[in-house]
Amino acid sequence: MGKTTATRALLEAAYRVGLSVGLTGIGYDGEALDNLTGLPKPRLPVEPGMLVATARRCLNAASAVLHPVADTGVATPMGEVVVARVAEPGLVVIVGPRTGRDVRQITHLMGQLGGQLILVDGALNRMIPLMETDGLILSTGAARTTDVGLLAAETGASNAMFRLPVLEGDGGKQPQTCITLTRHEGPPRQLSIGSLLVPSTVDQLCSFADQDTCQIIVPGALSISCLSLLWQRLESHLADVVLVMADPLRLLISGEPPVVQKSLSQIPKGRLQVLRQLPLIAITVNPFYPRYRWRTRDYRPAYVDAVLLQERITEAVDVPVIDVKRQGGDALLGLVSKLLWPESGHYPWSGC
Amino acid sequence: MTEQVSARRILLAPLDPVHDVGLKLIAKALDERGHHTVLLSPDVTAEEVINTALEHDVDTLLVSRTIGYGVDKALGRLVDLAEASGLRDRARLVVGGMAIKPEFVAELGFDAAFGPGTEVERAVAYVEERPYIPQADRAQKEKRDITAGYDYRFHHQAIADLLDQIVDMILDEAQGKTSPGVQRTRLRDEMLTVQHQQAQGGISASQAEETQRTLRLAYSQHCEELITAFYAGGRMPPRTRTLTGSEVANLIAQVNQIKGQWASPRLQHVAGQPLIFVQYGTGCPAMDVLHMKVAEGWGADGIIHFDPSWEARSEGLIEGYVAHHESGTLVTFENLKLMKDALEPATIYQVRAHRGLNTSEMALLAGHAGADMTKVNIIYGSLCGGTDPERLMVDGIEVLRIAARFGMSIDVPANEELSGVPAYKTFASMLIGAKLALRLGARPVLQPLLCYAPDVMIGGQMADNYVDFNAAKFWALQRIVQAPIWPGAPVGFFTHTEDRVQSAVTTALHTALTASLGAGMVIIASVDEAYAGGPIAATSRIDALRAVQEVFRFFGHATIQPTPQAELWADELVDNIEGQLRRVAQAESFTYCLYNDVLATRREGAHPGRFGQGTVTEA
Repeated sequence: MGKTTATRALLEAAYRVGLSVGLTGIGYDGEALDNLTGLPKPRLPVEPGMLVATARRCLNAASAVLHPVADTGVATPMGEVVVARVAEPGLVVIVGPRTGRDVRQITHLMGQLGGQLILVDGALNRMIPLMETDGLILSTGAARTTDVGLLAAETGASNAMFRLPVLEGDGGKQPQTCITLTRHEGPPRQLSIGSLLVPSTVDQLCSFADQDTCQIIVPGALSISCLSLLWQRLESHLADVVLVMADPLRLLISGEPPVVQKSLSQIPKGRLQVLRQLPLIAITVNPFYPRYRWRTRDYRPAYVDAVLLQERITEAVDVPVIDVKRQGGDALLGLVSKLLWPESGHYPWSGC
Repeated sequence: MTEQVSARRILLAPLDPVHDVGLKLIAKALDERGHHTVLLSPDVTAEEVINTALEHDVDTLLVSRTIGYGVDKALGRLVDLAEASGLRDRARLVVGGMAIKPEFVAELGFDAAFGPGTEVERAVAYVEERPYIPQADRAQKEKRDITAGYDYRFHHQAIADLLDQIVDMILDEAQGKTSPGVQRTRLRDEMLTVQHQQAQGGISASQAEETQRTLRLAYSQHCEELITAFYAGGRMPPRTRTLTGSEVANLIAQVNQIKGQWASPRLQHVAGQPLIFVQYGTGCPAMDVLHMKVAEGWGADGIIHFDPSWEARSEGLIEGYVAHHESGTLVTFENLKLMKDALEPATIYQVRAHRGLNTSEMALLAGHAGADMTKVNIIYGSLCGGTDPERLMVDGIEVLRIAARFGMSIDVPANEELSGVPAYKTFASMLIGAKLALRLGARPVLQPLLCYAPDVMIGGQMADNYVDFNAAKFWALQRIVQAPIWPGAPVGFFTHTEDRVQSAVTTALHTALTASLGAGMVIIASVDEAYAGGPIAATSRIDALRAVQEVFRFFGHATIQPTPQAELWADELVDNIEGQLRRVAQAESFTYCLYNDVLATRREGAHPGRFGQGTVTEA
């Protein structure tokens, strides 16, 4: 909701200060009309010198002039993703990597090609590949729901997941594929499964757990109902067991955020951890939403109270909340810089 | 499909409360090919889908979604769960169904998407990681000889005998006669032979040029002023122009890009359903070519050239790639060859030569250009086409000889019905034309009009339905001779209106009737043809072809059953045909029959033509 607006604002701000910027995305962006509503979408403008990673077939669809500089071998339904440098300014269509592994490969490549700040635009209802980035900007707004109170609660619930503690020790550094039960003494037990998606998998896990179990690492996907069920089973038998999920995004997709938050609230602080965290840099808000008109059966632009929206969400979270339409991308860029270049305190810009 | 591929493990999951028929069809096809499939029932959660996929260690996950609301959320979450669980690393994710748009593939991270109407085989091919070959491609259309399998045996001996007498009468009368049309035809034949020899390297360019100049000069002396002016000074007839070199080159380049790139789909659903022909003649040969490529792309099996009526009434034909600013495309060797070269190998090509002063030359050009069929009806062309009877008798015989020489089958259209001539008389005339063709070594095709003819409008034979009398016509001909019967032109003539839906339906139903009767081919109208008033839109052709395709699908091997009245009318037609032929056989000459209301009367709408009158001479 408004992610393209935020991406665009950040692009413009970064370019203004002379940062070498790379742009890609995990969805399909840059098309003129929204796939669902048919309303015009803000498109992504690029400037000379920027790097763009997109499907080869999209190079000619751009109004910007793009010169390919590297192949990636990453396949998409619209062809291989290539990294191109912008020769002449214009708009681009991004069809980028679809998996986290591919995101990692491409952002690494763009970094090697000189990109100092790589923006990975999100996609409709998908998040997991973004775990392979260094920081997340969560975009929300009235397009998700016009109930500002509900939106604030939901955003707060999402925020909470990015505050879960990271498991200390080596356990979090090793690649995990199977559910692992660490014990106070003795070798850990491993299941043949990596995810908790249906109740039978919880049964399977519980049959492996005993009084000696101190940690349960679930590296794969899980459903919130399975998490709740597991906690109910464990709570009464294993007083100090710690549940470890792979990362906050796996929790975020396990169910609707308020439902997830409610389940998490039943787990004492510190008893739910993650193997990896992803810094939540900021939350951007967008008061725009497509209003459906029954009479004409089409969508029209509409807006909620922008100030109220920003205030309510600010109250619900502990990260900066920015309305990029009103405040621009500079504030966002400042926050990104603090994360990426904490020692210098600002971005390594190439300006005079 | 005969290739052997290793067995795949596929999970098929409908993400809908109910709809799963698409996945069931795909699962069945995959099972039949030896793959291991797991088909989930509808109304499963994304978690259950992913868990089952992991349990069975699938290499492909096919999900379907029919309901549109929430589709983005449901599918996006599924893809995320697939990646979070590690399934993404091992399996391909595919989505299909009514709610799926191609943009979703890229937006939501699937590896492939199959929208509404995807063939089962396409999904199977994807699972097996091989190219998809559409059904049509696997059984390429082949050009059929539409006269194959017919021995032209007459079942009605009396009619056969009468026809022989009449044919003898015609040939005796035409013996030793010629016309400017025939003479031009012979000269054109020489010109094309020289052109061919030059192309083969048999003669030099200068020699060819010299010979052509001489031949053209001789040719133009048999032409009227309009055409002579072309050969003398390059003056184009009014409302015509020559296509420029770049226009022709661009068209050829465009055609070469698309020719052979697809297999023309079959309209027929089951074997035995007739071949479908469409007519063209926008006036512009370039537009004609593109229209016909569209028609081929939508399943047309054959095409028919329509020329303008003024061309038929002018002594002589011009040359070159010529565009005409009105409907009807000029018959020139270049125009015909342009079309012939653009067609797919299986498409049957007919050029009409059934009336006018250039019939024999048109047939010759058709033969040299590689057409498969031509058309002539001496009687129709004389009585309703404006050509002098004696002239068309002489020229028409030449057409038949040319058809035999080039191996073109030749249809004899019973078009007089359109003027008001009763069916039995038109059929008698048609049979005369067919017998004459056989005698001269050609293979004729009978073309009755299954139409709402003026005589029928008055007589009331179609007051109740369009089925009985049309069936009677068909049966009557079948009782007389074993010959191909090709309803045209188009089928259902005079039943079409400006209402496009009505037009499509009547075409489709008449086509279904011809299929039911056992016709081997049929000519259909475009949905705007009856009242086009100009070039016919390509989309209208598509509408008609789709309507026919659907009616073939509807009926399959089922048939339309006429009422008992059809049998009575068929008997009546046969008797009347015999009576008519008897009257002709007893006349003093064939042309007497044409000039003196024997083959059809003026009251019925038959008027002996005057174009070419007095031009027949001793050879």
